[in-house]
Amino acid sequence: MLKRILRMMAMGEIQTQIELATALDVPEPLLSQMVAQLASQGYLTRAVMGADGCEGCSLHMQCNPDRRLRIWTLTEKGQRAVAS
Amino acid sequence: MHTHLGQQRHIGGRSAQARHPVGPEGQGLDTVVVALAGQPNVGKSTIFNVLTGLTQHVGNWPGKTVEQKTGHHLHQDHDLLFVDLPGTYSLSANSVEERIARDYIIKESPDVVVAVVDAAIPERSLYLLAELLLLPAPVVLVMNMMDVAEQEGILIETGVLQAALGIPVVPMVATRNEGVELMLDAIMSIVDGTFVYEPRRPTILATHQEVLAGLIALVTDYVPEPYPVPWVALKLLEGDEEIRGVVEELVPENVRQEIRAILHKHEDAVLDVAGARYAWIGRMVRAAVVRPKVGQVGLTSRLDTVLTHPFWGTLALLAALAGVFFLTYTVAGPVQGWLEDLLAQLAGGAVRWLSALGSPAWLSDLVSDGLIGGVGTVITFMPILAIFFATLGFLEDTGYLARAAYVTDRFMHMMGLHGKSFMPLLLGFGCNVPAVLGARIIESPRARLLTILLAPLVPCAAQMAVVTILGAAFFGNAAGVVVWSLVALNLVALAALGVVLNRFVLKGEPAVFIMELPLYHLPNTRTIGLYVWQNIVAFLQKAGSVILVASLVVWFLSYFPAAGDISQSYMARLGRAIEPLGRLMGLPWPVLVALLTSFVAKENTIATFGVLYGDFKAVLPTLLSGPAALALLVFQMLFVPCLATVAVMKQESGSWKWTAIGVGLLLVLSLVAGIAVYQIGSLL
Repeated sequence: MLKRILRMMAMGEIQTQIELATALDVPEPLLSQMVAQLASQGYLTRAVMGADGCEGCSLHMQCNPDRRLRIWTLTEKGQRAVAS
Repeated sequence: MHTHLGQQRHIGGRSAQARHPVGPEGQGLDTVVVALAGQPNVGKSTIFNVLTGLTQHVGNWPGKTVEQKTGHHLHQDHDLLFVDLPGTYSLSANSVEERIARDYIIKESPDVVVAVVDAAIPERSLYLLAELLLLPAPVVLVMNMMDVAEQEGILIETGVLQAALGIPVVPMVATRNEGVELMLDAIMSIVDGTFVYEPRRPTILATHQEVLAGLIALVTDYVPEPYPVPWVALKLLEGDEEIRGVVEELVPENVRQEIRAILHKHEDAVLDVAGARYAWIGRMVRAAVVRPKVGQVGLTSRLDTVLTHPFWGTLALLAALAGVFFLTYTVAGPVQGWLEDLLAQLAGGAVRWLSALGSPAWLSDLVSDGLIGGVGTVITFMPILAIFFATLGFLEDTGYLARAAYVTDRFMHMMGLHGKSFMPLLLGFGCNVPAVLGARIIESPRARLLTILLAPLVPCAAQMAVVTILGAAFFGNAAGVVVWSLVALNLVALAALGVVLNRFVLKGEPAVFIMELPLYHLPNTRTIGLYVWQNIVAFLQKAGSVILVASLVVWFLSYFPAAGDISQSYMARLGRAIEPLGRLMGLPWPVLVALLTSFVAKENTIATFGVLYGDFKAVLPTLLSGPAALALLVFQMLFVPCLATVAVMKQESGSWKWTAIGVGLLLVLSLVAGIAVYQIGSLL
């Protein structure tokens, strides 16, 4: 199940957890838990909105359009797991 | 010395026994030890309090600072000693609470473990149950908060779940004391053996069963009592660092090396082990949990069916953008007018005051035109920015902006752009500098380069402010539509350029990310207020630094060497040199100069207009025809990025060539579009 999540993410056709939950036929709360577990084990990482050097910028507050939006990306470990 | 309750039972390789009484209520009675396990906030403490009341004993877990609570309850002539385990999400030794919970169950062997689950979100707690079932203690499952689940339209068929799990399942509303007696009966049915306890535990995939068997064979002779050998082997396979450390200390060197080799080879076994548990949870939930049908779903799901829909979602996004601009004009416009009046009075007063002091003419000009005309004009943006950020803050706080990101992302996918590029591009709406810097998250150099080249086409907040001011000056009531169209033009240009570059630069690399969209909720005025305040302060800081310097430079170039005769100034010489180009767009040289100063910072266009024309909102419409005004706005929107953005383009691409190509592309695009708009518009 967890490997399927990584594989489906790597395919790039799924954009949200809701779509992923539907594709896997699991409830979204369960998918959220699986994503959190994959993140805690280093297969996914939360993408940080912003960049190095933004800290000193007077306009940095404008950069993150939604601070509650969580975006997960595959880590190198995640990509290796997909490839294996 | 233990007092046996009924017949000795063998569960998971251990013998379950009742204990001697521990507390005062239990004197002379058999004591049944019951551990209460569950995630935080599932009502475990409520159950504990209902059962134990004044018999509670509060202390710390041995050697830990985590609170330990125990208490007694008398049921059917049995003393039940309840031990409230720390709230945990799993038993994976990720935290001290998780270690306490699993150590207690393994080492103290409670007669029964009660797993408390939030019935409204059973999936969240069932992973813990999946792990509890692997330990040598019988488990009773309590589905608490059944009333909340019912309110959410979730139906839990506890009988079906009991049959599927093979363990007692009890529905409960602990806050109303409902189901507590049933739970006590279920505990006693386990203890006295009247319930046939045959749990259906999650299994692991066949591909790893042999590996597990190999690990079991390796550690069997070394695992101390009371640790169950299969559980220890499974934890090793899962990558449990604590268990691995303990095992490595106990086994001889050759076995240690063998274990390490196996674990290294099967580093990702945790995906299959934990994945199988989630598949097991999925099966249980599908069997026993009935979720609301379409039409009964929650607010978020209902709204998302429209707001994330490919067509309706895009329409909603366009409508939201139009709403933002509409509000910005209708609310901020009049306030900006008052500020301008105030500024004019201030400039007049300053000039009179300086004249009275006998200061030279250039100083009066510097203050009224350079400082107040430049920086002051930019400060009149404030109402527009305040409304702009307030509406954005409102959309963000409701949870809508995340959907906007989702819809935008899909749009870019359709246009053949790299999906992951959406994140840095989204940043571009604030400022293009982090948009370019943010492209670092893209692994592929080609995709990263494409994103860097496209990022400046996303209209930043400063650009939006400029076209908002100029749009209002030229097009009055139609300004909202014009600005909205300009944003759409930029996004279309971005997509078109992306498609073209994608065909030659990047070839269909897949996106690897997913979004977790937040729930919708009512916005918080304090949060929005803080968001607006922080942005306004940031803007004023910028006005007091970059824009101040640029305004003074522009004033200097427009005042000297002809002592205020702008037609003979350095600026005029520069402007006249490029005037032929401006003529193709119907723009006089001062307008071109103002556009050029936006290379330092986008807001400088307005500051320069303020220096050169004074009340430019009144003057410019008399100088420019409709097509020329539109050409000016189109040119401004598509023009080369500001200096800071160009600097980071060079830094991030590591190439002057690509930086020049990126800037050149935008210069050509802005010129071609500006000329086309003016020439075609003049023919109509």
